[in-house]
Amino acid sequence: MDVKFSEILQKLPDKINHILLKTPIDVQKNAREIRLRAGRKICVIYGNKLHNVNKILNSDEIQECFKSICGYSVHAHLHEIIQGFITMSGGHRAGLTGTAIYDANNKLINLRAISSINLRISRQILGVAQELIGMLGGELGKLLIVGAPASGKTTLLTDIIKHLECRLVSVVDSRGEIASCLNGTPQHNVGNADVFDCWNKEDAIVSAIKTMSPEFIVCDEIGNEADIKAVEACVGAGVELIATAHAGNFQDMVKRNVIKKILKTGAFENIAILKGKFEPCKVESIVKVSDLFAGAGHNDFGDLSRDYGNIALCEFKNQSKAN
Amino acid sequence: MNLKINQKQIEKLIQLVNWIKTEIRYTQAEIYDIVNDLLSNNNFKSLSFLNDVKNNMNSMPFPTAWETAITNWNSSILKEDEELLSSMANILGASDSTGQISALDHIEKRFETSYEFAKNLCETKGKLCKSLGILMGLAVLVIFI
Repeated sequence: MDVKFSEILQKLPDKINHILLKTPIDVQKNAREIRLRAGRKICVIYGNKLHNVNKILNSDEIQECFKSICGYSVHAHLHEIIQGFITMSGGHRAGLTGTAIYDANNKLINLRAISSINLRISRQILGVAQELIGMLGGELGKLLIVGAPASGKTTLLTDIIKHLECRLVSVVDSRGEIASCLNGTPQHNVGNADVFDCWNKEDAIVSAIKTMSPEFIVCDEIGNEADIKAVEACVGAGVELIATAHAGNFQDMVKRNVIKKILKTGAFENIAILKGKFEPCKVESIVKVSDLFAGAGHNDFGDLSRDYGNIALCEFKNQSKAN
Repeated sequence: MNLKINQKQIEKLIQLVNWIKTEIRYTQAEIYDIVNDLLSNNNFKSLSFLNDVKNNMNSMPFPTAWETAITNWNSSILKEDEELLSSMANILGASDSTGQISALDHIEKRFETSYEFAKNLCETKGKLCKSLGILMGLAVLVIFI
């Protein structure tokens, strides 16, 4: 029985637990996600494969799983439920979807009739950031890590935080995925970092700068308009930002106007682009933000970037050969 | 059934519901933590089913743990009140704070009605017993005289 797999099963009702206990051990050891969907078979995702369990869940069973994951305390997790996830002990997380309930101001206030639960098995891998740290010569500040979903951005980020355990680090864990705090205790090894659990980024960054005197602020998934203000709060405050953003590759990244605006704030000096979900946590290339703007001669580096992906890769490879 | 104990237990149950409502409203604590806090509160020592709830939660879901504990509780409350208490299993932790508090308000009111009934019954029967006692005493006196 895989330890991480069994940690997740303990959160489920006995009936579902006993069914999943029969999952082959090789599937358990490599399991990334357990998908529970109303009216469909339970599915375990391991590596790039699917293992279907011969059990179709009805909606009552999904509701029971949901309540069990909440510790039969739905009210205590409402904030997380609205964001679509619940953090579980061990750093695992349950992604939720169902029928959305909006208030008169069109603000999402609750979910009902949960239809799918995605149990993401957390496997913190220590040392996975060593390659990236080596490429940057140990200079981790002002770093943006860019990658597609499941490319290892958060895993890398967590390991970077652990690497910085002798420094003053504040972690803005808006979605509870970096430290995965449970009752205030990080479930992942984040060294001596101070964690702002489920805070919005701007409030957390301002508070961290005022109260925690950080040398580094780390946050996950920047990429909307609200994050621009959050990032600007770091600039000029003597704090170095390390963050991640979603993008399949360099070309996808430069198409995102919000990312361009964020890069123009000056909060980042280096962009590490990851290879993707088939080689998680592996770095494709490192791009200097100053180089992105240097050749363009104007505010928008869109035209330059079409070729820049190849240029950056060549420069990186040449640099690697020289080293 | 001991009427006085029944009245006292219902009074405690009203306090219990009120306390739980406050916890849910202001701390949004998990049910497991609420049960632990109740156990450490001397005011609820007489509600011995709470110990069973905590123990049961180690091996069964909370709703089952609560219902089983109530079923096995050696109480002096009426069957209707026991069923009302048991029904809290499907309220506590089952929805958002507002929904739970609204449902618990209703339960609290019903307990208060039971309490008033028990109190009146206690007073009426108490007076009756007192009167019977005096009459018996007088009868004995007359017989001896």
